[in-house]
Amino acid sequence: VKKIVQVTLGILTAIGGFVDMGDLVANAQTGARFGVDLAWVVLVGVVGIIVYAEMSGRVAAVSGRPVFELVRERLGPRLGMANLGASFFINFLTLTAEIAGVAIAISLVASVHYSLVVPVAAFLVWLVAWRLPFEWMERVFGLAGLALVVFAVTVWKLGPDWGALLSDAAHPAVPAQETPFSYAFYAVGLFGAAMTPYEVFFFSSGAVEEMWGLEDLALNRANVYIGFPLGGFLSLALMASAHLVLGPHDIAVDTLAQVTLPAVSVLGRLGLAAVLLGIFAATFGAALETALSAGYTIAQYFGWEWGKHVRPKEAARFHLVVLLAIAGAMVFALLGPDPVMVTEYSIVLSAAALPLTYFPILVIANDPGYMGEHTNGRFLNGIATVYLVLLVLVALAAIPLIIITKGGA
Amino acid sequence: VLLALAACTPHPVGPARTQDDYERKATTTVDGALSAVESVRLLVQAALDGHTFAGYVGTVVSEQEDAIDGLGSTFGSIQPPPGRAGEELRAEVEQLLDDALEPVRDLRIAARREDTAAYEASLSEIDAAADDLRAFVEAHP
Repeated sequence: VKKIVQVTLGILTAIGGFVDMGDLVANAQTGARFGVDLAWVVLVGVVGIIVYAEMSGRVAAVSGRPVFELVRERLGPRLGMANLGASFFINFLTLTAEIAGVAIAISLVASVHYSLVVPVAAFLVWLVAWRLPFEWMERVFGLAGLALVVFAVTVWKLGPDWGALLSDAAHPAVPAQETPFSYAFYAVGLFGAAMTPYEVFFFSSGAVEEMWGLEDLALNRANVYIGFPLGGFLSLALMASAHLVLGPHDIAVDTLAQVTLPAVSVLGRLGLAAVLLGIFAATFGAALETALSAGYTIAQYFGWEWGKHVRPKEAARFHLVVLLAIAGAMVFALLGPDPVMVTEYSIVLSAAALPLTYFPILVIANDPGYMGEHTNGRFLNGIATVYLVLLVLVALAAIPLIIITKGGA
Repeated sequence: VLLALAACTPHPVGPARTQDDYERKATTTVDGALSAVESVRLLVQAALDGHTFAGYVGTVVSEQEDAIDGLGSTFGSIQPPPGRAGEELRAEVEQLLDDALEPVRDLRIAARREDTAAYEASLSEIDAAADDLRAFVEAHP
């Protein structure tokens, strides 16, 4: 019974923890602007993150070591450093966006400008990352993030023409008022949001924190194969609710508050409470993941002691990096960048760095020296290789698309 | 990080070289204002149905007010092309933005005072502003 509870909790946590600031912004923006014409990208992204997150969880469970430590060992310090630089920069932008998201969620309740709440949000993130045990941290915010199911309830309550909705999603096209470049820009953004690099760094480091072994491979598969698709379902529900409520009013999503409008207008105060709780939990959970990922990647690259499973005194440099990353992100958020624009850039730039993250995972997952009999099978390698080609194409397109579309304008 | 900050901070834009260019920027500006005003309209309707609480309404309206204000500042910083057509377009857009800003500002004040009775009065002005903005966007595709 204990095992079943553990697996169920893991799945629920994976669902609630799947959505972050990037998913909230990207899905609401595309839903309001493109309808469900980009829903296919979410499906492609979810399959991609399933393939590579399963691999990274398996690598951690079999070798007892996280992905980034093995990246440096397997690919050498130079390529490892390039990977570290790109990942850390994108992770930093994502952390800034998540802290801003937490502050905005609080400000909508407290009725003050979000920038006044940014230091409070940053302090809370640091305090929880420092004090709360890993397992509790993951479960509290993952489970509270399930409140985002409010978007699915919103769509159901609206009672759309399901046939037309599915038909639109199944026959994607560039809307008349859009250009192929803006369509491609948002497709890349959605893909980047679904496959954000910190997710695999956190997932594999978390597996080591929770001391996964071979007996946890089933839990790894359950989290990834059930939890992530259901998390993707929340993303699609968010896209559909924005399409059905914001689209007809010509509302483009430029602020996080606009993401809440469909739930508020359809479900009332209960919807408002649920959506604010869901956004708070999703962004807070992701802020914790990105803050810890900053510490994980640097500590694992340099071979320092790391993690919440060891006493803080023994992993002082790891905790210092986490603290500095949070403080840096707080200062950056206070300098006045638009949180939604930071989110947009972080997800599109994530897309540009995806091969650096996922190629080494594929190499290690095929190395019998690390994996023994648990290397990838042929079928998985086939899918992973197709995705690697896709990742390279997306990475090549990301920065030119930012320039051509002036950031999706 | 500095480059990222520059990219993610709204900033004034340079001159519009041609009337077409200026018109495109005007349409983008008015389109942004329409989005903000429609957000407020949706919110007020929800508030009148008892779907929200005053603090939330005040914060969201204030954000949209800032958005319209920012659009006005950005558009105002664009040097129009020489000629009367550019000047007329500038005056038209600025008037539209002023007309949109006023009821949103009134609503923000009402929300902060928790004066929900004033929402209904603002709604008709917001409806009118939204209609004018949409008419402009449709006339300048």
